[in-house]
Amino acid sequence: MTDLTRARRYLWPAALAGSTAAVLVVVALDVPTSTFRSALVLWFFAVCPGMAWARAMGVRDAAMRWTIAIGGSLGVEILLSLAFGYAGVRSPTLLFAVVACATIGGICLELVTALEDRSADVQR
Amino acid sequence: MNTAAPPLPRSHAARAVGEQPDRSRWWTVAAVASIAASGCVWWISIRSVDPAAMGDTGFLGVLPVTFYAAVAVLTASFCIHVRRPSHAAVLFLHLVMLIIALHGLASVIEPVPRLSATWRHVGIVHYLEGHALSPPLDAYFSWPGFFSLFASIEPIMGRSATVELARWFPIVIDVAYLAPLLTIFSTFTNDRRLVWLASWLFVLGNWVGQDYFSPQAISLLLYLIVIAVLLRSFRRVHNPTTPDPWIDRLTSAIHADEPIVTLPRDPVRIRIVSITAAFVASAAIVASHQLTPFMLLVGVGLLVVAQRITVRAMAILVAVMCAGWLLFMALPYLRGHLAALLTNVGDLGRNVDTGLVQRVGGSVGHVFVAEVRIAVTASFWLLALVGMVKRTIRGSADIACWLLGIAPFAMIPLQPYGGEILLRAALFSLPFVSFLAAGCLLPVAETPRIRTGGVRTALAWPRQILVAIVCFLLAIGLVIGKYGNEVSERFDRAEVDAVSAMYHLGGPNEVLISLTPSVPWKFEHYDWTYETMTEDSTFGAMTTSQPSPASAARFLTSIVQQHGATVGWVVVTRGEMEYARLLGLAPAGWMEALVDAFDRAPAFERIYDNGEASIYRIEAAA
Repeated sequence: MTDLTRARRYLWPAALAGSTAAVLVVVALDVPTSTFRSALVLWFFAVCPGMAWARAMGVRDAAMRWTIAIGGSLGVEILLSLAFGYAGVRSPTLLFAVVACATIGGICLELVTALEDRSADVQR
Repeated sequence: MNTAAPPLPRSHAARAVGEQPDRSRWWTVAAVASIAASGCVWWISIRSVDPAAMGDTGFLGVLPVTFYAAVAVLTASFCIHVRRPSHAAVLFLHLVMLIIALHGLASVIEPVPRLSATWRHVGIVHYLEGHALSPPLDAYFSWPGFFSLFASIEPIMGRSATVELARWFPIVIDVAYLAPLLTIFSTFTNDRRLVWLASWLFVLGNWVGQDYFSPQAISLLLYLIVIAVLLRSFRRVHNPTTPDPWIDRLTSAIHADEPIVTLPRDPVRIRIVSITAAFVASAAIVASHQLTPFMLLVGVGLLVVAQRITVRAMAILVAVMCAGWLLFMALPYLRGHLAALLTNVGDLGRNVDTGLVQRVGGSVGHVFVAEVRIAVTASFWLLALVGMVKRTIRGSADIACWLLGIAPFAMIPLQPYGGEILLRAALFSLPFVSFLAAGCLLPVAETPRIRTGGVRTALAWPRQILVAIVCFLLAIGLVIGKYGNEVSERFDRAEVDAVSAMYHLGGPNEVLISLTPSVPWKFEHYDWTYETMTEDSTFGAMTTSQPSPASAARFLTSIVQQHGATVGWVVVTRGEMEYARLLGLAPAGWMEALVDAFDRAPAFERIYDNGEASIYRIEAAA
């Protein structure tokens, strides 16, 4: 594996972690409503958690990875928002916290897998 | 048994890229340049469009020739690059540009979201932000998944961000459809040209307009995702030790087999994440929309029965989820509507009549638009039928595609779905019809002999020109079909301002009344009382004579009194009047006479007027 390929492997985890951090900052600083803020939040909720797990589980085909990313993200969030709603504890912050944790979990799993692959390469 | 189509030794792309890398790079530059050029021309064209100048054929009459030139350039560029070993990103960019150019027209031209239903859905999201999920106000609250999601994330997006999101939603959702579509099509064929052309045709054929901010838009996306995952990760692989499924024995009688698609078998962990995504997406569909779960049940059921997928439990799981949701979560809705729902079961003639025959009416322009819609859909089906026969004769029987294409029509005898069941069935079958239609336009490439040889290559250019012409005509058909009623479906800022003013003037114990359903309202105070004059059972009788101040006051007062209120607010907008005229809800000039009667009736008082919309106050006691 070349250095460039290795570096590319970390691009997506960095983008996903960056998106999570950016949404956190936007919410924490209460950035005024704008197209940028809406697009960022929509991107985070529609893609990030599913993409983190699809990559962590090694889905290589690009179309399939996006399919699982969008389906997994929206599916889980709809079910979570319903569960919180029916339980009477609906809170945007709570939903964001759970989804952010899921995203970070997926990123960590992918990084662990990448590091294991790298050490296996070195041993070879 | 699958023997007719040996897997290709090397992909078309790999072979050509390997032979001509430098030339390929220039082709990519040319592709990006043509996309950018068509994008610029498109942008300049539509900036000068005045929505107020629109007639009964919608955007068709106001779009300049340069708009069609931009679409023609984009179509030509796509048709050139789809037959070449172009990079997937280049073809994807073409598709995104096509979606922006056609499905983003209203988002760019119009200042606020179109369609009354969009504003209603925004209102439910706003309502749920401050209220519990139960008790349900109407059917939407028995399937609240979509609204609950956006009620949870709107505070993070920013206050009232949903209105802006709703404006751009068609572009977002249509781009999102591409991922599962490309996955599905790549399970049907090895021919990447067919995969991309089928996606292109799907975008061109999606005139039904269910891509606005709605539960059905998200549910269709999730439906496609479930189907994509099942076909990609859980395809039945031919096993020589077990007997062929009955449907394969049937098709082998006509010497056609399902094409061998050289997709690698997914490892277990990918299958785990795939089935998890399919399961949560299915559950989300069941909780978000009335119709889609049953479309999914029929589709997955047929795939299981025909042994196209290996996860038989999925059909049972979807059935259990559907039944469970109906019996436990949607029970209040079922209690109130079960009799009405059962009345239409088996009444095929009535369901087709409300979905097709009754839609061809109204003004001359509206009839023309309805006829174009029928013609476009019929063309798609004709192309698909020819494609199906052609591919079958050449030895490729796309059984899973056939089944998923016809599955949605199983719902037609069961429900009229408010007169929309035909439209919805056509929409759900569109991906698979698009694939078969693409199969008609392209040569069958599962067999290598089609892909080589000087004569066939020389003949490829006329075929590509034909494909480009068909695609361009379908693009024009989409502009007419999707935006044909735009004169009554679009809104001005002034109309939204009038409704906002009505919310300041009115209250929860008063009745808000519109003349027709085409009003941008309910985006706040969803639990207030709303009435639409043309939906009242006595409206038809009222239109038999010219309205007078007394008859107008009597009619509207009775609507207010039905709700035990003493004050009503009537909103009269440009869109309402256009809607009545377009659909022929009243004799010519009748609605204008009615508004004139409002001005002359002592019971009415015009409180607000901004040129595009007026608000009248009516005292029921008077």
